[in-house]
Amino acid sequence: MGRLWKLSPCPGPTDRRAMLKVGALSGLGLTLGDYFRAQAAEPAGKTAKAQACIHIFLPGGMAHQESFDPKPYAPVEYRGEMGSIPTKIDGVPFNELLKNTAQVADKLTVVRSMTHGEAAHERGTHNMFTGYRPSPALTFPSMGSVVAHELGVRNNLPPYVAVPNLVTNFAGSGYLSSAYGAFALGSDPANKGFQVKDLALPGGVTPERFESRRTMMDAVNGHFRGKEKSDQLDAMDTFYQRAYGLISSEKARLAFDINKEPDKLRDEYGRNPAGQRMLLARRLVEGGVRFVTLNYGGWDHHNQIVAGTKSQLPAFDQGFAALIRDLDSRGLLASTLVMVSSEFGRTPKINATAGRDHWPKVFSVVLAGGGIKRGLAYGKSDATASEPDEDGLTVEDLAHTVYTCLGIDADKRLMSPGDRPIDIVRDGHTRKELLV
Amino acid sequence: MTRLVASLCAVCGLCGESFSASPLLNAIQPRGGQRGTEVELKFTGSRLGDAQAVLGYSPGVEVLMVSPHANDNEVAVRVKIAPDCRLGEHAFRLRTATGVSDLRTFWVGALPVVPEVEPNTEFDKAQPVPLNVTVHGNIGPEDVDHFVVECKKGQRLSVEVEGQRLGSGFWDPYVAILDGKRFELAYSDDSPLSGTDGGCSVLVPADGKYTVLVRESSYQGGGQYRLHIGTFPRPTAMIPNGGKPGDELQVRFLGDPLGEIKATVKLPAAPDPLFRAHCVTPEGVSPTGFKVAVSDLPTLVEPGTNVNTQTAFAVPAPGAANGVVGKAGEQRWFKFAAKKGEVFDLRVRARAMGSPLDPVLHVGHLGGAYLAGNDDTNGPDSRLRFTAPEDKEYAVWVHDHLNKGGTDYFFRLEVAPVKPGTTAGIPVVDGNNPSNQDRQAVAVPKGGRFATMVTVNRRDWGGPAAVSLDKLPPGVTLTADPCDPGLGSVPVVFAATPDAAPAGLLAELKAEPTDPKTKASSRTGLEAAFNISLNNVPFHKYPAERLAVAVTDPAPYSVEAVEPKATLPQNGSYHVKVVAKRGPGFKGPITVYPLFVPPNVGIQGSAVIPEGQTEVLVPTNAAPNAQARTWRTCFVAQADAGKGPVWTSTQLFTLTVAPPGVQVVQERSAVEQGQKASVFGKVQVVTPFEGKVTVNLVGLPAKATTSPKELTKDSKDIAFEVATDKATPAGKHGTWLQVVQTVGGETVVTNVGGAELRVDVPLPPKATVAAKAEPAKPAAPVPPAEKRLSRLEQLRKEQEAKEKGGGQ
Repeated sequence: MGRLWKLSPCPGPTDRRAMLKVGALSGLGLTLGDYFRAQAAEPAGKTAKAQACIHIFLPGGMAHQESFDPKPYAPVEYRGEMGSIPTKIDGVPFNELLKNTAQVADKLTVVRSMTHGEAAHERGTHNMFTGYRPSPALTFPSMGSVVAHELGVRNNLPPYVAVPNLVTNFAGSGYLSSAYGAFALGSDPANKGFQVKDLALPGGVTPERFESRRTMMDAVNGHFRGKEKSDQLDAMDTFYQRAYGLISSEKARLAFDINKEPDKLRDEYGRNPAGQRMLLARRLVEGGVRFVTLNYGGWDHHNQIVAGTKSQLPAFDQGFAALIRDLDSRGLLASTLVMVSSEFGRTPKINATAGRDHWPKVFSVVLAGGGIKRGLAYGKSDATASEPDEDGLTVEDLAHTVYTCLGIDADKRLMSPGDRPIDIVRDGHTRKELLV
Repeated sequence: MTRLVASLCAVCGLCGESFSASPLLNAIQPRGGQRGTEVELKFTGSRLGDAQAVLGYSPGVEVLMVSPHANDNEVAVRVKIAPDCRLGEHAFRLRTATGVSDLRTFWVGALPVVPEVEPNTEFDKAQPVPLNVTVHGNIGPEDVDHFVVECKKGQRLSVEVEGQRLGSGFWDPYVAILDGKRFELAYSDDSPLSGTDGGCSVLVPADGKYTVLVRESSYQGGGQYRLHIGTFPRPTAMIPNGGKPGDELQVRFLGDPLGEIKATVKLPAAPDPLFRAHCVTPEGVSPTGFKVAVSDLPTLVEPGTNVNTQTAFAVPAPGAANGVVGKAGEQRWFKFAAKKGEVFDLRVRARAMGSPLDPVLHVGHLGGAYLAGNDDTNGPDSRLRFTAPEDKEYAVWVHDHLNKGGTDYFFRLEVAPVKPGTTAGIPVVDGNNPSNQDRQAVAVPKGGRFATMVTVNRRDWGGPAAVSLDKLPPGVTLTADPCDPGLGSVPVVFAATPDAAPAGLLAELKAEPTDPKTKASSRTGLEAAFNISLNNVPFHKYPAERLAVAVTDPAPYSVEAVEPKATLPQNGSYHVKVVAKRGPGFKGPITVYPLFVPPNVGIQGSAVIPEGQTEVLVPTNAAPNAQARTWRTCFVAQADAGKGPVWTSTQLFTLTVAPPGVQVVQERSAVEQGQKASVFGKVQVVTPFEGKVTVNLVGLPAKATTSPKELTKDSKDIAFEVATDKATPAGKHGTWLQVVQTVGGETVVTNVGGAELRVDVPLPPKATVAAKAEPAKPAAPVPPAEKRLSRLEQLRKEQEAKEKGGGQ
């Protein structure tokens, strides 16, 4: 077989389609061609303030009390053991460990009245990724997939990227084609020698052979074009061209290469998963990716919440503050929406194992850039962080607002299987108070 | 050797750098031995290097030697098992110089032990063993162990395995008896008598070789086992299975292949959860005995003909009847007479006693209407509380949940008076892991303390309960307040004098009514759980029933709670100070945890006395609805002094919740952005105080400021001037007052008042105002200060002014 392979004028055992199976898409049985074909929609959002979105998702359910909504005056069984520090938003303290974030708070909008009713991990996750309550009848697309569907490809880069991987199936494409799913890196940018391997040419395929294959395909396509005129053929050709573009484009590949960032900046973000994932997210949106979902840590602190928070929050704080400053200094913050969210909050009272349990009634999300006001504290929780006190923000309204920032009409309907039109967001409204 | 270890550790305790504590015992090997022999055991775990003694939970096993290995992880123990030692499970702990280990078990059998020898995985390579031995072996994944024995026709061949019950890890054994052609003559996976362990017996059909196999039921990973192979009886039922204490019970053992066996069983003098009745014949002893219900109830045995209401068997009330649901679809009927209002607990004990019966219990008027029924209140067994509606006879009938039946579907029906009782125990520290034995024993350092919560589970009575132990090591005292009627647990502090000798014992933990008029029995509800599997369910438990208490070497530190001088106000807070005394050389951090937090009181979950320091303040607060009363609680403390956590505690200290000394009725107020406003309150000094107290207005929005005020015991009003900024957020802001008092050097904060401060956006100036501009008049003289007006009074005054002005 090896001998045959060597002698064969054919490109080899890797056929054209296999060669184009790229990244995590291959897990979906898709080739990059399928992928780009599906994403060749007419871009929306031409007038949007946000050209891209970085969604920082903290799996497990981060305690609002131990992050963005401490209650220093609450009884000790509610406020917990951790202290709070003032921020650049007057009267809005953060957890004592969010020292760096406190200094960029004037660039953020802190929403302390996020609310939904789902206290199970997978259901809370579904809410926050899709803007919908889970339904047994339909799988909804995540915001990233809707953005991919609506905004399409920019600069040969996948519109929706998951760093380092898809933290949940609910971050997928739902009833939309799998082609709108996230391009998952499958490798943590914090690791030494990080490389998005699937962007490289398959083993044994040199750039020369790659070019030779492409020429062969052009010959085949030319043959069919001569026989038959079809839009689909032309389209197929375009999609393959785009796939080739991603693989062969130095610029596109560079967007994934975190090693090109200066060491000083990498240090500023923090040489840890939080920092490096955020830095790569910035690099990706700068390159042209529309929606980056990144996850960091595990925040399901049923036990020993102080120890859990101390082990994870400082890295988040360093990376997040660096991200905001970096985006701002590059002039990208105005056109990049950054959202920090989690599955739900955690119980008002410390439990018997020094932790907090699931609590979706009220928790916090943070928004920044992309048309969001700077230095705003939106909504309030009550004195013990148990319920929204003012301006409760629903998942529908949050999703609607995010889509509005990205220039997507969230009231538009997308076609689900069975030709049933489904609202991008049902019964949601953009919270204009959040917008500049 | 023991003395040497003890002296070494005393030195370590003094230096404070390598103080060993919290010994962990993981296993006792081998897992069992034959009674009447001496056995060399190896206790393995960690931090065992200072082992001094073995605490045994049951008689019959004499410890001859305890010799810790220098590696700190092993202790060699030689035991002598008495010839009349009780068969079955025996439990031990190791007492070290610095702690008490976990509880682990050891099995005593009647047969000599032979080891399994591999290879025996193939049927053809079965290991030959003589009859009447106990094989100690091990099963791995996909492993099958075969043993071959020579038998004579008509002989009984019995097999029984102890695998799951060894408590060394979850595994589900399967046993079978095969003939020479490899056909299964009998097999067993699980059994009602021995749980997931199995056993089976056959009458040998012909002279020859028979093979016994043991494996995991689904060929997955296994574990250690003790496999009894012999001619011993293996009955599956015992009737009756209950009697009065000390009775010589005439019983019939059923289900053995050789038929019914009659025997006499001597019952213990008091109920004993570990007592088992074994069937003894000249051929041997059944390895697994039957549980026996020991109580004062008169016990009868049904005639077997009581299968309907007409033939119902009369049972005295109170009383008990033993019977068998003899065949499928059958019911067993009983009757008893009761007077109106009499209350009985009707119970069927079956599955809990090792019967295959899953009973369903019914009660009704004899020959009349149905009254009540129960299936599974006690696990698969049934229980219901019955109050006789009138003076007459009542029928009770029992059947299987699936209408099954058979010669060994035995049960015991009890018509028992309601007896109040209490179970006292110690909560498992890790609620997510029932097998965690951390701090399930009491290790009191000399000159120090150890504290634990004791759970008080009352049945059919209410009221305060006093916690006690039936005995304590010399020099050890127990301090505990009575457990409140509304509470199910209470903090208990043990203290040892500095000169207390190293000692350990097992004591009964009791919680009894403090009111002598209330009668309630008490038992210790401690158990060790093993083999945790799906849903955190333990597949084996040992009913420890006694609490291990030991005196250990002095701890490298001690902690003391400073008794608060102040009362804790409702809706207020203060700090409790915990002070540490450090032994020479011990500098490490000490973490303190409140052991008991009274209802509606909050104490910070933990606080750390930092390295090298000696005190920490622990925030404590009371809710507005906290009951005004005194409580006693304590802090437990933990520090790592080199090898393992060293636990100790403070004394019980008093925490008194009291109504607030100062009350303020705060008024609502409003202010326009950029303006100033006054926030008023009417003061009521409930508890007069000396000097002044400071009052802070808190909850103000950003860019709104005020300054603290002071009150004396004669103050009636308080007013804060709040200055706002044009950027002060408009809206309603909840504000309240914090009264800060200093009592005996301690700061006490009371939250009082509470009212809304509304910040308004100023109205835009009217266009006509400019047109009417008049030349400036000389400034009017400042009117004398008027009485302060409330917001309502201000509005009224404005309204009156408008009305006087012609209603414009």
